Amino acid sequence: MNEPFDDLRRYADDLASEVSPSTAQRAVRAGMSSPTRRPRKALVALLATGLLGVSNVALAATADSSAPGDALYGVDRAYEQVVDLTGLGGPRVSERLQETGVLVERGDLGAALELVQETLGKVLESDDPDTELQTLVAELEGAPGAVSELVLNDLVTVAHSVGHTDATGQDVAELARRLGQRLSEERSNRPDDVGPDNDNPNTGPDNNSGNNEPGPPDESPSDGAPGPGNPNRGGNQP
Amino acid sequence: MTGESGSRTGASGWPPSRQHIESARIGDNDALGAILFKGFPRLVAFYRGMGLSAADSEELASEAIEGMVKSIRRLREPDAFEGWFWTIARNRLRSRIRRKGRVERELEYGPVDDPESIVLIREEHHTIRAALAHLSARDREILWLREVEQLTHEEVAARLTMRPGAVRVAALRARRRLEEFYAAETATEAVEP
Repeated sequence: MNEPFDDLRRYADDLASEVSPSTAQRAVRAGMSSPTRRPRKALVALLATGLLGVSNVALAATADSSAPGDALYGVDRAYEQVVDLTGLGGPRVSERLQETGVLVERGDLGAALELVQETLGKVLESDDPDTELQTLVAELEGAPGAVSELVLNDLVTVAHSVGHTDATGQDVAELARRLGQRLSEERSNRPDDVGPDNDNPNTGPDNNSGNNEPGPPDESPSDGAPGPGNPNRGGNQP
Repeated sequence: MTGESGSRTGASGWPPSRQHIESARIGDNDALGAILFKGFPRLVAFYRGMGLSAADSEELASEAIEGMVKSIRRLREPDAFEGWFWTIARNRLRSRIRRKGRVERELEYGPVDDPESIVLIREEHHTIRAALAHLSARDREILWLREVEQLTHEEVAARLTMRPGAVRVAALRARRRLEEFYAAETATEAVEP
């Protein structure tokens, strides 16, 4: 029975054909000229930030420590958007990783993975993705192992699917490889993971392959189910 | 089937040809503009298919276009175009949902809120819309990328951070669910006066 799928394709075609060429033209023009429009947007945003800052410093400070699911998280992200318009924002790697850690602690792995994917997406779309990627990996030094695992999963996905042929594209794969290696070493060195005598680092419960290459991307993030690349697969629970 | 952008470029000009993609990738702004002009309606359709309103979909598609302009230099090769395109599209959707304080799996199927499209969408596509509304956000997304955009299981897997095998199973289930709901909706419409 192909009827529903034919109908689905016709529906999609009709939705696409409803978009007027002038709307598409406007969107493309705006997208391609966005860097030059920044100064005016930045000025408006700076004024708005100033006003908001004066009147709502306490609220902003409280919201800043919130994580997805908290009542003030929307306020936190709204402030960030205003600051982003000034061009002073960026992917906020450190803050997102902290929030990911909170979500992992709460056991909401689906939301944690979504946040990691969003953050990495922003890193790769930022004006200086190479530096931002390096920052991301550096910030992971102090992050819980589970957060690093989530980032590694997404880095591997990105390295496999989106990149390019020059040195920067190879950097993603290289970062994923180095991060995988570091995580593997950290796991091996953790006394809890390797048993009481700590003689054989490859006998730990989480050292499932013994190789340092990052594994394949993990399965569905929405159900938070443990998988081979998921944070709760071994002794890495925060 | 797919995987090579441009190898199945149809009359609509989508997906773009390899030559166009390569030109855009190496800095030809006219080629990039032409590609994004064709891609914009696909993005709007995708977001509307996921349940967003027409206005929200156009706004989000504009944001995605801006992201694509910024990151075109990260496209590895023309064959990776569709993966790159839909990765950015999906990231924007995720960010949007998060900004609204909701989680993706709870995305509701929105109403048709665009007055000029009500006749077309409500009447001609009532059944498929009703069937889609029964599906989870993830099933909707998998079906859309597979059946409408005709991405391979591997390409969908990369977008959704799943394994190709898991996508295969999930796509099969989603297809079955859509068929069941579609048949149920068709039966309901048949008995209604």
